[in-house]
Amino acid sequence: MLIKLIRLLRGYVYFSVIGTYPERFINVLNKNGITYWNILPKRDKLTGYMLLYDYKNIRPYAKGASVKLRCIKKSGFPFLVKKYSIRKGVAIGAAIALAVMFFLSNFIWDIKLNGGETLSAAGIYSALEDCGLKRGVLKSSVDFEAVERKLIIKIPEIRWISINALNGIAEVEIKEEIKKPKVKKGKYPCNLTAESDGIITKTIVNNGTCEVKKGSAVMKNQVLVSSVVKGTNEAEDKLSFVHSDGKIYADIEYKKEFIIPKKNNIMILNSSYNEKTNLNFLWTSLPLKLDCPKSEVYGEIPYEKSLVFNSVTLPIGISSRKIYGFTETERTRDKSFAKKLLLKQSRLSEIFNIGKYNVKNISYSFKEIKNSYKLNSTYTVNKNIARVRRVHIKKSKKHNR
Amino acid sequence: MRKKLNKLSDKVPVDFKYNLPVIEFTGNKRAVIEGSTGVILYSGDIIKLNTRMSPITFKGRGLSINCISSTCVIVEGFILSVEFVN
Repeated sequence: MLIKLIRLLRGYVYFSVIGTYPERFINVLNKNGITYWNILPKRDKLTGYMLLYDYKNIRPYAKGASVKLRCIKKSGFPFLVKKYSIRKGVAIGAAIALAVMFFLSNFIWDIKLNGGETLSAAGIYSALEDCGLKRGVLKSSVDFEAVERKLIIKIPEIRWISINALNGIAEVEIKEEIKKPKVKKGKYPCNLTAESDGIITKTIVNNGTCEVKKGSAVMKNQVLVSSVVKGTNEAEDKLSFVHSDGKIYADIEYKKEFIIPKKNNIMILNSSYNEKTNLNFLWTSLPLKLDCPKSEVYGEIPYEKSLVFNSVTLPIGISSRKIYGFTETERTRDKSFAKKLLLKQSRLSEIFNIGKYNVKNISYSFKEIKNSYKLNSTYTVNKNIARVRRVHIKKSKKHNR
Repeated sequence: MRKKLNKLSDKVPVDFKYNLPVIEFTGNKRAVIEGSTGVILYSGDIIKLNTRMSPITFKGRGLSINCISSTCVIVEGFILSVEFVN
């Protein structure tokens, strides 16, 4: 394959040797170290292939061997160049294309992130940008080792990082730091107390003396599991302090209040908008449209589209911003709308605050006050209310003696 | 001394000793001739090679020289006979 390619690049000739004694010509070529291949006898002549450079220099040998050479076919790059030498534009175009390719290969076209699943990709990209590695930057201007060091300092969760810039793509390999497992603190004596008021539904005590029973009502900070334990051996009827451990489940009540005013100011979007469009190429951004917003209050909707080739995002694209104007108006909320809004707020709060607990009952009460609407939400939730409270023991002097 | 030299010469390979060509056959399809000094006749039926000893003639069908250098020739085709002509 490589030999074929070299032959094509150097150019070769398919020739025939005509004469009374063509074998002599072969011997002469061998003596002079001239390469030829596929030499075959055909009736009264021999045919074969030879490199263009050698073919130019074998005329004297042919004369010496009293044979005639005939060129049958010419192949290879030199003949192609000669054929298209009249069309100079093609050659100039090819040269320019090569020069452009060479110039553009000096830039970072895309950044690919491998690993670092537990870390935020957007955070890593922005940190890389702060360290000097971004799309469109000149490859030679980036000190990759310095970027690696800076990134490790900036994001302490990164254990190891390697940046490889190949073919205009910077591949960032990241390995996260393995977090230390939480070590349980020393087994100091402690009680389990109630986090809030409630009615006990279930008790699981691993260590300590359970002070409450299923169905009993408890108050906030009441001891649920005591650290004081009697000795197991009857002979040793002594009290000892232990590290209480367990789970005490209770039904507890949550109350939350949501209030919204009857009147409020809202921003209404204008139907017309202005659009600003920019053409992005590498690090530059050229404006295509220049429109200014007419309204005092305005909002923007950014939009960016980059050229993608072979799953690589190229630093060529269009970014546009739709600029909308707003007008401020006062609006009075009606009762049904206010109720819907308050219920939405309440449900959102439920998801974030009590979503992880077992919710047994929910009740809402909607009220209209002077200038506002009010919604009271009451939730009955079943959860573990046991909280660790350390017991400090002071040894008396008498006891020490 | 002469006896020793004679003993040593017995151990030297024959081709090296008498400057003979080495011919290696692969069935009747291929023959590698080492020690050739040139081509005398080249056609599809007969290939006659010159060696330091004597010319060697390969007869057969569709014979061709696959590879040739100043001392080595590879003949391929359907070889029917080989003649050592003095």
